This record gives sequence, structure tokens and C-alpha cells, in this order.
Amino acid sequence: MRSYLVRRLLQAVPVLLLVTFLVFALMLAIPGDPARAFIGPGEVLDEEQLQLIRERHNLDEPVIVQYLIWLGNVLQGDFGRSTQNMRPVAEELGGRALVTLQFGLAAWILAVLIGVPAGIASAVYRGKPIDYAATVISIGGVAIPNFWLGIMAILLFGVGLGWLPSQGYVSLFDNPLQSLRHMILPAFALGVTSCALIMRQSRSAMLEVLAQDYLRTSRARGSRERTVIWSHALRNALLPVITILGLQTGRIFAGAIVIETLFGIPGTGQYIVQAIFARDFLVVQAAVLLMAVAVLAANLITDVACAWLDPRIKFGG
Amino acid sequence: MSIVPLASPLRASVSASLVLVAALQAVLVACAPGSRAERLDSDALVARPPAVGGPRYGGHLRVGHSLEPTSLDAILGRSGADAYFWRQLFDQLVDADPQLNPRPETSLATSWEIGTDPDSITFHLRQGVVFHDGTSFNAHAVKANIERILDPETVATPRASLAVIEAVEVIDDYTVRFDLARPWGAGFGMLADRGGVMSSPSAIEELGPDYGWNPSGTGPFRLKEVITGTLVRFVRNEDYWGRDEHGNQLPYLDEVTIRVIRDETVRAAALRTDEIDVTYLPYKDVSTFERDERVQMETMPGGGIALTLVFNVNKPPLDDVNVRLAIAHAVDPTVINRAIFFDRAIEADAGMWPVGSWVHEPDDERPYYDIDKARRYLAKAGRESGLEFTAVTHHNPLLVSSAEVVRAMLKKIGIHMDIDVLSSGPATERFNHGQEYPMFITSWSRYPEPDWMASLAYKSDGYYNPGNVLRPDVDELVELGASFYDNEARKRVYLEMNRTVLGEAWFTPLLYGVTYAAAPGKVRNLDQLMGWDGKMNFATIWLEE
Amino acid sequence: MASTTTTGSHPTVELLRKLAGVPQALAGLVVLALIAAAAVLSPWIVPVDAEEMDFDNLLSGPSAAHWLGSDQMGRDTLARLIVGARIALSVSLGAVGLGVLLGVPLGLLSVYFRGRVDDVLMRLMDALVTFPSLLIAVGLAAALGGSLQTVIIAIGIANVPWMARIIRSQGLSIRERDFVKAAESIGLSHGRIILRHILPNCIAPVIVQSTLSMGYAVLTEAALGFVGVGIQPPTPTWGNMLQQAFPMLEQQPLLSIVPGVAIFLLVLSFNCVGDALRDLLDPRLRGVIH
Repeated sequence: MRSYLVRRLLQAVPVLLLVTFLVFALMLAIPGDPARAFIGPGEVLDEEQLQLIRERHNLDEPVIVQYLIWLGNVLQGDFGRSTQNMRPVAEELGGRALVTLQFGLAAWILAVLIGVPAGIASAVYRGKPIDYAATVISIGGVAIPNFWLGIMAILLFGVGLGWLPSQGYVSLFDNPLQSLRHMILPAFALGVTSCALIMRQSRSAMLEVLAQDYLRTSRARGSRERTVIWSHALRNALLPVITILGLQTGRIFAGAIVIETLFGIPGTGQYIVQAIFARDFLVVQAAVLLMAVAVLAANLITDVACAWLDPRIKFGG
Repeated sequence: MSIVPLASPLRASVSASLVLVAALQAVLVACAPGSRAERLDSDALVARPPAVGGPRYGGHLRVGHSLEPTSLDAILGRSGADAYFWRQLFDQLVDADPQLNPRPETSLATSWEIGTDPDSITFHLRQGVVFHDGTSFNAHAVKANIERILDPETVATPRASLAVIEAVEVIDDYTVRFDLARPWGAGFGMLADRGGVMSSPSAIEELGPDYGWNPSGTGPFRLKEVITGTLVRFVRNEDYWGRDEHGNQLPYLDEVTIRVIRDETVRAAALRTDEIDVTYLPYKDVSTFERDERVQMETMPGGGIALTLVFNVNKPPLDDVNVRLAIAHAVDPTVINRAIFFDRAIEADAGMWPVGSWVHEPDDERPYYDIDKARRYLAKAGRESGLEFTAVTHHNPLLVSSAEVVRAMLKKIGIHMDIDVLSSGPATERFNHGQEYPMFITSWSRYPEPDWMASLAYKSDGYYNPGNVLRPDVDELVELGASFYDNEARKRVYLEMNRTVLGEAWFTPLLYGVTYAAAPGKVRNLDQLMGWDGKMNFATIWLEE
Repeated sequence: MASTTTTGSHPTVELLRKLAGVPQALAGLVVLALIAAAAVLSPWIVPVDAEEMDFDNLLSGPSAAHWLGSDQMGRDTLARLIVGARIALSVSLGAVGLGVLLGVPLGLLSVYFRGRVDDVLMRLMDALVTFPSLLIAVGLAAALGGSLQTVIIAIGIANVPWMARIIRSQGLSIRERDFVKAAESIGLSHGRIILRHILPNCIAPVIVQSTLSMGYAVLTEAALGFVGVGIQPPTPTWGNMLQQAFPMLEQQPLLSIVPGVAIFLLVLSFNCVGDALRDLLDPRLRGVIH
């Protein structure tokens, strides 16, 4: 177990280096003088000032040198300052990461809370209307653009019925109730794909369990059906659910970019798009690093959790 | 708490503007709801609460704004929109009214004299003003602030606007003289903007790079809290020197929170659901709020150039003035206004100094929509068979849609225009410096000081002059315009400049923007919200219970 | 393998016949065929020019002149929808094609060389997987400007690691099979073994993954268009139609509804066909490809 973990962590190092270097190179490939990116619209800096900016940010150095300087600083825990507002990048990104984490988690919870019971119900009542309904939803949920679902939800609940605030963000710490009300629609829009996948997986896992012999025998012995279903089936259904959650981490980040724009949520997704356009290299680098770490960590946790739940899986290749 | 006379003795050079200001104040007092007829002696000590004349002290104003500040240190900020934030924290050496007349009673300089041989301006400073960190405002602080901007190491954005200043001399604690390279009529406008913002020199020294987010000015509010990307909170500066027309100490509000809400639809929705108290409205929502009786609205016509064509006069195929004029005459702003701006913008009838600017004057000579004329110009250029080019615009939905309409209109005279959509930074840079595009479809901020526009966009070596064609006649006008101290003389110069800029189609402004501020009835003095530059000020806003 | 079972007629025809036997797949194929026909025939069937602005009918609802209404500039929604279909199909075909073109050879290289090369390639694939295709696209859009090519490249690159991984996992297991070992023992070259034995056996999962990826590519293009970094106006795409429609949600909701339904139908069709293909070609893939 320990050697497995060490190996996985060691494997992550070159991946992270690759990711950050690729992004670094991509950012520097954006045409134009990066020093001029410091000038806001309608503002002006003279050549003397621009030269100072170039020197201070090593903009005249070759790409690889700039990258190594960045890497050295990061290893010392210094992520630099945002060129957009001269504040420490770690601080800036941290606050926004919390926002994304908050509603990313909400999306997951919603997906699990709806997906697992619906999947199980559809398996237990196989061929009944409830099964058809769940199947249609699970097929549709994967095909529907999540941001469009968000738009439709805004149209229905926000504009039409006025039940929920259609947009905006309130911190959980400022006002928990308002915060949750604001989170429902975006979490729903973000979670619907995962929910559909979970529904589908837990249905087929459940069907497999229901078909197994030991279930028939235990039923024949007269033990209560409910207990059987929950104890055996849930554990089996959990595996694919965890796998999906792990795989979906990257897509949640991708979804967050769009959903945050749509609902006006000041999270990582919106921030990184803004930073790319502002050519705020250090912010983009740090955000990508954060995403990569999150995705790799989610994959690792998924694998470990699956192995722990299912003794048949060994820590091998 | 020290009490300062509201208005110090006036010098001859500013008396004219003061008369106007006094007249305006009289009108304001007369119009103010529930205001009393009598005016208090400005020297009177007024305890609070209650305030005299109607306003109520206290309350928390929640504001919705589209952009977060790039810095709270006004001179390091890189966006004009930063003013929404720093205006609350700072005072300028010279403040201005919407007509850009200096307004000494709200300025840190109470009076000034202009020297002509050699050129200089001597400022007499307000006494007893303290920075938020407790240190005193004086001539040494002015010198330190101006020198900080002029030092290239600071990388201050207003540096170019103060380039005329050769030296700053402290005469005594409350008198300071700017030695100038040439006459500087544009100076008051420049000092009313970021260039004249006064920070506490000791706070700057103490905090270094962190000063940008821990500012210490003399303004009506102090900074309480910044949550970047989300909000900035201000609290009342108990020691503020400013007084209203009744002599009440300003500001009235205890607290102001500016919440950053990027999406304009979200912002309007937040006003409707009472999550914020005041915001500027998107054009598409104005009519909805007009019908809403709970909401009052203030407008500022000419709060910017909503849509303009900018040409690179050096870039084929638009290097031919007749082709540019054909384009300028082929675009119908009426249709764009209706389709994209919900008829809420104003069709441009002059140059880049819009309605509301003191330099604005309707101009019959500039290009107006006339498709026959457009065809004639095209024929004159020998391009009846049509031509092709690519224009650039940036990611703003209003601009992209407008560009699409422009494309459809040019098609009618046989011009095929492709559109490149870039984000605003690269678009601006690639148009102005990369010289990659002959035309830029964009919007433009309202710069009340006309020299800013003239020296940046019209002068041959201007940062926003993409063609950089050497035009000694225009360059001379630009320098002349900046030098006169008399506004009427300046105006004549700028109108003369327009004949080239519009007549040769360097710029073809199509629509002037209108700023719509909306707030529920409890927000009072909303008419004083928009400052001379259209940015929000909260010093005189108060809230009904 | 299932794909190689033939009964006289051409295997592709046989496969299509089988697909048509699955109701969802049939429905999916019909919708795909309709959309493809509309896209291909668009120059002839589009009612009015998609860029034609009817300034007397701004933000109008359905009418005889505009069957699906018109947008802010009075452009016909149906016409724009049909032109948008062409873009959606080009992007999905282009991006998946690029993914296959790059991913399959990389996967084969991994299988062929194993060891150090495999390690390096797979770490590169891991790196690509960790950041979302949307982010690659935003970066490329910032660097090159949003256009059909950048969108195809961005989504295509995101497809590469999945293709490479599928080839690799299939290939590695096939490599261990007896017939490959036999081929090795009679001295066939590695390259020959890969092309003659391993590649053909990997085709089925690649086809399945490709079909499903096409649906995902349509979704990604729409998201890019909506964020404003995809293909830029005046070219109508379903994504940028939604972007321009969203601020008008209260004024004209139909504008936001129509392109969304189109995206949904197209993705749904790709997925239905993909699911059926997976079941027909190789049921074991159920757990491998989502």
C-alpha cells in the first residue's frame, strides 16, 4: 500500500511539471508584448515604464528561464503577485477556490442524493414506469448542455416563478440560508451530468446484484427484502459511483468555467478565464497547477477507495 | 476634530467659476426636498445627528458595480473604473464640476495663482486636513505625491498626464508651487483626475507594495475590508473635512459596500430583489425600471462613447480618405441604436467629446448616414467594384453585435468586412501597436479633460494613434489646446481639431452612451451620485429610514 | 471479435443493419441523417440568408416570415440554426478526427515500445487529461483568436489522451495473446504485428469512443461559444447563438430555447448510436467507455 502511494505520488511530479510548462509556453505564445498587457484600456505607460516592467518580471528572458524562475519561487511557496491587481496570487486564488469547492461539492452531493436512489429504484422496479422515467432522464442528462439547463432553470424558477434567486453568489459564512438558496440552481446545472451517469451505473450495478444467486437464497430464507437490498446492493453500487465522481472532477472544473459565468459566481473558473485574457501569467499558472493537483488527487483517492471497498482490486499496475 | 472654514478667501483667477458654483448650490438648495430656506453660517459647529436641512446620518449603502478594482492606490490602478473605489477614499488637489470647472470648495487646494514667466501654478492648501493614518496633509505631502507619480520606478499610470511638471517647490507648509515646462490649461483637468490624488506619504513608505490595498487618503470614507472578486467595504471617515451646503459634516452614510457583480443582468436583478441599493443599468433593462414606481433614475447623457469606428489611416485599404468617408457615411446609427442599444444611447452629432462635455458642440459638417454620399465617396476612391478588409472588435456583446450590423450595412455598398473578435487588451494592442487592422469597432471612456484624448489619440506619437502619421498641424493644435487657461479659447482649438479628426475620418463616433443610475426611493441625493467623470461618489448620498 | 463476423455482405452494411434493429439507435441515426442533410444542403434550403437583418422584426416570435422567430438584429433563427448545424458537425468530425489521428499512433507507439517510451507518453497523456478541454480552448482562443480551426484543435487535443489510452489498454492485452506470440515466434517484425494484428483489433472501441466523443465535442463547442471564446460572430454557431440570446432571456426566451434543443437532439443522437454500437461491437466495453 505504502509503496503504491509513493509510486503514484512520484508519477504525479512529471505530470505536474509537464502541465505547468505546457501552459507557460502557451501563455507566452499569445501574440503581443506581455509588458503592454499591464496597460489597461485607455491607459498609457511610456517606454521607460514598460522597460522597467520587463526587467522586473524577467519578460526579456527566454521562456525556459522564466519557467525555471517561476518553478523556483513556487518551490519556496511564493506564487508571486497577480499582474491584474498586484495582490499575492495564493491569496487571490485561495478565496475563489473555496467558492468553486463549495458549489462543486454541492453539485456532487445533489448528484449522489438523486442519482443513487433513482438508480436503485429503477432497478428494483425494472420495466415499470419509474424505470422508464429514470432511464430517459439518465440518457437525457448526459446529452443536455449543462449551461443550457441552467438557462432554462433560470427562465423557469428565477424569471417565471420567482422562487429562487436566478443568479449571484452569497458566501456560506455571510448568510447560510441565502447562500444555499443561491447555490441550488448552479449546483443542479453543474451536477446533472454526474447525476445521470451515477443513475445509470447504480442501476446496472443493482441489477447485477439482484440477479445474483445469494440474493435469491437469502430471499428464500425469508430475510426482509429491504435489508438485503440495502446491505448487499449499496456496497456494490458505491463502487461505480465513486469511480464516476473521481472521473468527473476534471469535468466539474470545466463545467464550473461555464456555470460560473452563467450564474455570476466569483469562482476559479471565471477567474482563470479572466486571467488568461488579461495575460496574468502567474495566476493562470497557479490555477492550472491547482486544477491538476485536484484532478490527480481525486484519481488517487478514487483508486484507493475502490481498492478499499472491493478486496478483489489489488494495488498493482 | 478640527473645524475648517468651508470656503477660504478666493483669488481672482477662480472667482468666475465660484460664482457659477454658488449659483448651482442655490439651485440645489432650493430644489432639495424638505430643505429649509435659511442657510447656516459655514463656520458653525454642527453636531450630529440630526443634520440640518433634511439629510439623515447613518445607514449602509449597498452598491452593485461591474468591475473589481485593479488597485486602491489611484495612481497604480490600470483601469478607469478604479475611480468608483478610490473616489471614496481620496480627495484631489483640484476637484471639478461636470463642466470641468475647478471647484475649490471640494478640493484640497483652496486657491491658486498662475505664473507665466516662468510658467508655474502656485497652490494654497486647505489646512487641518488629516490622512486616514492620522498624519497631516501639507505641502510636503503634495510634493511627495507628485514626485512619486513622475518617478518612472513607480510605474504610475497618470505619469504622462503630468509630464509638463518640471519641479515641485514647497514654499511653506501650506503653499506649493509647480514649475512647468509650458502653460498648462489642461492641468486642472488632469489634477482633478488620478494625477491629483493625495495619499499619505508616511503610509506609502511604511507599507511598500502592500499600500495598494491599504490606502490612506483624506477622503470621506476609510477602507474597511476587501474581498477580492467579491466586494470592497468602506466606513465613514469621522474626521472628514467636507461639509454640505448647510454646514453638516460629510459623509452622511456610516458604511458603503461596493459589490462586484460582473454580469449586467445579474446586477439589475439584484436591484430588483433588494440585494443592492444602487447600480448603473444595462440599456436593455432601462424601460423595465422606468415602469417600476419604487425605483428612481438619474441619467448622465454622454457618459462615454458607446460606439465608435476608429481608423488606422495608414493601413490599406482604408489609407484612402475617401474609402474611410464612404464607410463613415454608410453606417446608420439609428438602426444600431434600436437593435442593440434599445434606443437608449444617443446618436453622435459631434466628435469624441460627447454630449455633456464642455467641448461638445453639434457639428453639421461631420459624416452622417447618407448611403448615396457613401457610394459617391467610394466612386471617388475608384472602388465602386467594392473592397475587402478585416475590422477588429472586442468581446463585449454590444460591440460584437454592433460590428455585425456594421458589416451588414457595408455590404450594401459593396464593402466586405470580416470581423476579428479579440479580448480587449489584445484587440487594443494589435490595433494600435501591431498595426494589424485598418479599423477598430470599440467604445471609449468619457475623459472630461479633452487633452487626454487629444494627446493620446490625435497627436502623431500618441499611444492610441494607430497610424502615427506625422501631422504637424494637428500636433500644434494639441499643444495649443493644452496650454490655454481660458476654456473658451481651448474649446475653439478642440473644435478646430475635430475638423481633421472627423472630416478625414480618423474617428467616426456613432453613438454616445448614456449612464442610467437606478435606486429605490430611500436613496436620497441620487442626482449627486455621478461625479464630473460619471463615476460614483457617495459623500453626499443619504438613506431614508 | 464481434465486428469481424460477416454473413456475406459488407461488414459496415451488416453493422448498420444491426444498428437499425435497435430502436434508440435507429432514432438517433434518423436524426443524425436529417441534421447532416440540413447541414450539407444548407445553401439550398436555408429560407433567407442567415446574415440578412430584418430591422422591422426584432426579437420576434414565430411567424410566417420567421418560422422560429428572429433575433435582436432581426436575423432568422431557423436560417442561423441550419448554418449552425454545419458548424456543429464540422467541429465534431474535425475534433474527433484529430483525436484519432494523433491518439491512435501515440497509443500504438506506447504498445510497441513499452517501457520508457510508454512511461513518457502516458505521463504526457495524464498531463493532457488533467486540464479540461475548455481550458485549452480558452488558452488557444486567447493566443490565436476564436475560429473554427482553434476550436477543432482545442477539442481535438482533449480527445487525444482518451484515444491513446484505449489503444494502449487494448493493445497491451492483445500483445499478450497467443496469436501475437505466435506471430512473434515466426519472426514477424513488430511493426507488422502491430499493424496487422493489434490495430485491427483496436478499431471497434475506437469507433465507439469516437461516436460518443462527437457528442461531447458538440457540447464543448456550445460551451465555448457561450463563454465567448469559440467561433466568433458573424458565423452562427449554436453556442454563440445562445451567448447572444441569453441577455435577451426575458425579452425573447424562444431565442435561448431553440439552439439548446438542437444541441440536445444532436448529442442525444450521437450517444444513442454510440451506446448501441458499443453493445453490438463489444459488450465488454460497457465498463471501459462512458
